[in-house]
Amino acid sequence: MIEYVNSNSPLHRLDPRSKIIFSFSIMLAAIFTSSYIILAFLIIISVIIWIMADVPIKKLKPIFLVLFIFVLMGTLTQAVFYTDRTNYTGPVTVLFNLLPYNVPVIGSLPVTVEGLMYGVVFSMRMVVIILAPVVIPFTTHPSDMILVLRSMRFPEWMILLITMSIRFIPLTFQNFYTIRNAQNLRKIKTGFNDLMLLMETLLITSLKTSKQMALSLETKAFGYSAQRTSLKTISFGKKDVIFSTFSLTVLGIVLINTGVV
Amino acid sequence: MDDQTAHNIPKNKFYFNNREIAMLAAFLALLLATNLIWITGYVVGNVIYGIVEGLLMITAAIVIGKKYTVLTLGVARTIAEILIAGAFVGSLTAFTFLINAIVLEAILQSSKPYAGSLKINVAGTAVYGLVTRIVFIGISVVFYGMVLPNWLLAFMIIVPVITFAIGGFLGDRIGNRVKTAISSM
Repeated sequence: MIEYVNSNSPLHRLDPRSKIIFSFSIMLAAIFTSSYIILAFLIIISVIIWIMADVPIKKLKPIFLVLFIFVLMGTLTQAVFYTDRTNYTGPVTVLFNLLPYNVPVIGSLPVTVEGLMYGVVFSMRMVVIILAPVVIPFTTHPSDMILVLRSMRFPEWMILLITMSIRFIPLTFQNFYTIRNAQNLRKIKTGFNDLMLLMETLLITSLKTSKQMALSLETKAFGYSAQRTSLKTISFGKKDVIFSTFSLTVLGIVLINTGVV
Repeated sequence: MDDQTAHNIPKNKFYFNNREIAMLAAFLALLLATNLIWITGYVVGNVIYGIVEGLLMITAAIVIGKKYTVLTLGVARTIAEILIAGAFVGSLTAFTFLINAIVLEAILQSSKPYAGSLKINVAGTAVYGLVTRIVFIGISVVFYGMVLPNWLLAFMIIVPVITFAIGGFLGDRIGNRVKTAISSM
């Protein structure tokens, strides 16, 4: 789970909507192109934005891990399967076979040069697709995100539902570890029935807490007025317009370059 | 309270009452937390994730017991995954939660009361698992350009159908017990 990192970086000061525009523009650009140069350009842009976001390296460890797995698996699977499809008509240069003999249905899983080259393109695309949107939860406080949902005219109860679920997540983990520790105190190994019991207890504990939350909602008369006000507001300023224009320009350049527009 | 006073109190404007909204939030938190199952690796994760997600969806439908419960969870989860949780495999795949929820909602509504039949719950979660994988693979192949052979696609689709159906079965068992426990609190 990605947590918000408190900072005063230029990215943190931007309106969340401009970051959503950036994220989707870069993602769309990566989807439409298969050029190494353009994908490298998009990665560089994403990295620059990440540097501007001022997120500590240790917070990025899980992202790097996911990226590493995607790059490794993406390159490997595409190296094997890219030329294996029925509609592939190009050259096939086999480097080596992953399996020493031909297995029925699966084959010998040959690693090809063409597949490796496509694997690199695929991995670069996935790096952009993962890097660009993750900047949003790292640099946007959940309360700002709630304001975005409100500005998009989402119903208040839906906004409350999402807000409460975010508050519930750490509590859910805390409850999980408490129940797990209690089970560990009784037994060393846990079987299927113990896991089911854990799930049941976790559900009941979470729902019991939700009952208390509902009570506090009732005391605050939530739901008796559709209109709600907020102390905090968000506004789409000059910097947001510049950042959004930059994002859309990047998308435009890529679309023109790939011949989509 | 006389009729005049009762008439002056405005009714709750939302379809779900505050108690149900709070319970939906608890289920949504559990569903968002299931993403961490993937830490166990692709093979183990593929099995456990389906069981837990299927279990949670059916339990939510039984405990809340109101139409559109699953659909609401699907919509809220899509938004949460895109905007807040940060979908690791690209924001587009978050839309799988919405499409699955529409399918499961339609199936669960065919039973009366809502999610009241074991057979429909199991069948619904099996279809949910099937749609989950088809949409996820569809996005990966069509939009991200992933190339996979048919035998691997078949494997990737069949496994979740089984695990989600098991989750649906367990959800039906646990759901009814949890509902009894909650109503007695």
